[in-house]
Amino acid sequence: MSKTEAEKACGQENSRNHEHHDEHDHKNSHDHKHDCGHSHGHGHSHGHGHSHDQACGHDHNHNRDCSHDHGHDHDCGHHHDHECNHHHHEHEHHHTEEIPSVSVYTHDMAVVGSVRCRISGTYEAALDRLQSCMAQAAGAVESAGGLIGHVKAYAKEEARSCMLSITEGEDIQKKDVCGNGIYAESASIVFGVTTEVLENILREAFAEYLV
Amino acid sequence: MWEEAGRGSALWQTRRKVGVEMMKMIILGGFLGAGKTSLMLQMARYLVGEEQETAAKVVILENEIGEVSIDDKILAGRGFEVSTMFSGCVCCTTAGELVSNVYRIQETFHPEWLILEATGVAYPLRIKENIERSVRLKSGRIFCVADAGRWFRLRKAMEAFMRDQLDQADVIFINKMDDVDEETLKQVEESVRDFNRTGKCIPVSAIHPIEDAVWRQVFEEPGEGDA
Repeated sequence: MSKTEAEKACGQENSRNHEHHDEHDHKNSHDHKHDCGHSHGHGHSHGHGHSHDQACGHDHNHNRDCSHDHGHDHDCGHHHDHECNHHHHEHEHHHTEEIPSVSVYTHDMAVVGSVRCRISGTYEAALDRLQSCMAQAAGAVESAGGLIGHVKAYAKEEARSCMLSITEGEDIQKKDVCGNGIYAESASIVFGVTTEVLENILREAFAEYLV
Repeated sequence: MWEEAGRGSALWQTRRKVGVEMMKMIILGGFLGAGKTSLMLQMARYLVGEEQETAAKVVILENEIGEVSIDDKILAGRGFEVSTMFSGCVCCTTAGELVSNVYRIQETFHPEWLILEATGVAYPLRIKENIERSVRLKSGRIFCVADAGRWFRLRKAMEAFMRDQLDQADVIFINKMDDVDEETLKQVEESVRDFNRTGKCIPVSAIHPIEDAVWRQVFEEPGEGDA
């Protein structure tokens, strides 16, 4: 894609940089060397705070403040110490999936937004609410002159649980606790709007579930 | 790993000569929402065939961008073990990581097939070139999925991008053929041909079962698809 087209589609002056606007912990990258002679984020990592200059000819810069610790849970189950923008971080390599959270960044010409939230109610009612949020976000992107790549979500019903209690003898009181709601993750990839616009759209659409 | 041995080093050369069991790679590209995952599920099932117990015959490498991944959960829910690379696109930001992972998959699982589902914003040709520079494969092919229903709108908005995505694709699935009438489908195919004159264009509807005859057409080259 030509720069002009990318900028036009993205609506940002420098759409080839990845700029992160988020409010939650990130998974860190582990720099290592490859044949191509430069560093890449490695493993099940979300690369941030580093810069790539690779064969694709794009500069991909993840700009973010690294003045805080990042706790991350990944499957590899080991610990990494690393340096990130001259700050030392110690982090667990796991996904934290902080809830609720909203993050938005650019990838080349695409604007990528992610939302994690909990929606209460029965499974069906919570799904309806999630669909409404997604439809509102999608409509708002188009109203803002943007183009939708996709707005996707994955919803998982919160585990059914039960309270058990004995107050006398073997008489067990059981109370099922179910239909608490869903845990939802939504991924939006759009074009032609700025990160700020998409972030505002997502915050507005999911406002009820981001508090 | 090749990079640990150092490209061009004696160890690297030795490993290249000895080789590992070479796998066949399919890079599945196409724009966001085109139906890559739906199509891939059917393709993987076709390639696995009756040998369901041969778990490592097909390995799927999923690439997603963003803080949350969706497709890998869908694939995992269908019984596949999925390796996901996300938060970076393997055609650029995580190209080195991709090479490492492809090599690791070949070394660990020795699959017959590797299907790499690219992000909807990736350029499959770049991915292929990146991998083939460092990993020895039996074959590497690019399959792209185009959304018949949205084709003209997307082409209008992002023509250069669409052209680059389809560049040198061996097979182009024109998906969601049911969403358009026959005449429009024909126009979509002609329009796709503007960007890729040599690939096979195959109209499909990936939400419905795709017949084996279609897959045989896709894999009809000698040595391919003998699942």
